[in-house]
Amino acid sequence: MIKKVLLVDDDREMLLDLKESVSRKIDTVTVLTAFNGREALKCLRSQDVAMVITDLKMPEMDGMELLAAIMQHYTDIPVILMTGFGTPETERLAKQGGALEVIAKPFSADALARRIQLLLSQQSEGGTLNNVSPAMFLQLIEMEQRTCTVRLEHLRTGSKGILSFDQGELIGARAGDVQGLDAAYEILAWEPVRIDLQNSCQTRGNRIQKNMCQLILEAARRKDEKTSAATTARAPHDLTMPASAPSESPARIRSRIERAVGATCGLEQVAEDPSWSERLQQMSRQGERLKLGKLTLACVNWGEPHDHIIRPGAPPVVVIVSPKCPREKLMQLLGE
Amino acid sequence: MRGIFQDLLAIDGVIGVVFFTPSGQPVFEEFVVGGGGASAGDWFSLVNVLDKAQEAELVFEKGRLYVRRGPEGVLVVVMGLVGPTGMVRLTSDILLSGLREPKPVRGLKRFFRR
Repeated sequence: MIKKVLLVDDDREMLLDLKESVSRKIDTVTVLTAFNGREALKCLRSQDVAMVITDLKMPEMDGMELLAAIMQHYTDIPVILMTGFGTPETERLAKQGGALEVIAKPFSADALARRIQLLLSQQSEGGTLNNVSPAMFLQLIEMEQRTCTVRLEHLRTGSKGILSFDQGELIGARAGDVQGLDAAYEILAWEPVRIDLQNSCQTRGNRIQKNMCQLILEAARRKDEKTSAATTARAPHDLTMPASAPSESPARIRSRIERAVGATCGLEQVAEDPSWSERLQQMSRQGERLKLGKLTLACVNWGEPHDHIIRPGAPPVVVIVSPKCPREKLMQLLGE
Repeated sequence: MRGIFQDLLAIDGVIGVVFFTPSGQPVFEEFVVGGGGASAGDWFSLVNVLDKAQEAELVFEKGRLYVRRGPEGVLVVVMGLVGPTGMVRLTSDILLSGLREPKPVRGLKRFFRR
């Protein structure tokens, strides 16, 4: 995978020299450049950058300010600071601020290239998985209580995202410029993905506060909502609507049941009930996701002495029956 | 775990069995035909739509599902279009009652296998 490295320095000549050397020595990176911190932030907003190497003294926004902004919005991106005026105090402050390393100028472009290569290879030191569904893998990380950084690439859209785990707990997520919970929901809905695993986590503090199972379910719900909205916008008829038989009045259904299984069959009520519509649509959508097709009939028991048999339609028809009713025969009858 | 659900998987017409803990952690997932093609999370999302339903049978265009929720977890049995639901209900009854945790045994008895 080609990774993007951002070089930031106001010395244009040096910047272009460095760009050329690094590009020549590492063929798996694309080098981006910016002449000050502000430009660098603009670049971070629009590109998936894997690493930032910045000078310390620059006009408009210096290296320390840029480092602070990165640590606030892109905590997963490693930062290397370059300085010609390095003192132990500067180095201490930079590392305290979140910099991975401080390099004293002058340095050889070869040494920098080797350093970049090493740090980028660490981003997939725990292994790489291709063409997988993230849900199961991320639940495993939670169960094994691992501390790691997971970098994901959505294979259909090429979008990239990062999830940070501390002892199995998801503490940070970022997808482009979106962060926290919203980013986690977006990333968890991606499928299939490529996953790079790094056995450490730079992110500090928990910005998520939810367990993986809750996140996966909510992500699936949001994805369904999005798909449903897109489908509705595309076609005048909702394609996820449950398959329903031609509309039949409750009275007609009742007489059909009584004819087939007798008047004392345990039939309690037959009525139209629009309150079931949304639930039936959700079930139907899930059925289609699971390649079972649309929902045609449902029988649900809530722990009460009677069952609800629901036939989808507009509105759905609900048949309430007692336990003595031959449920299977009725289901067959209503499914016809 | 496979041994527990063997009886369900052996019923003609049953395509697969998925079992979750009440919180949605997948515990068992096996399909007799194909791989199911869906993740455990997808199955649980469907179960979640049913909210707190104790038992449900869902008939779709290409297959049917039997869902059973108990204190031990949530069982989903995937069947073909002509599913033997009666048999599946009965077998699920027996299996789920067998999964209930036995009462703790005090004293030396706890060292002996029951």
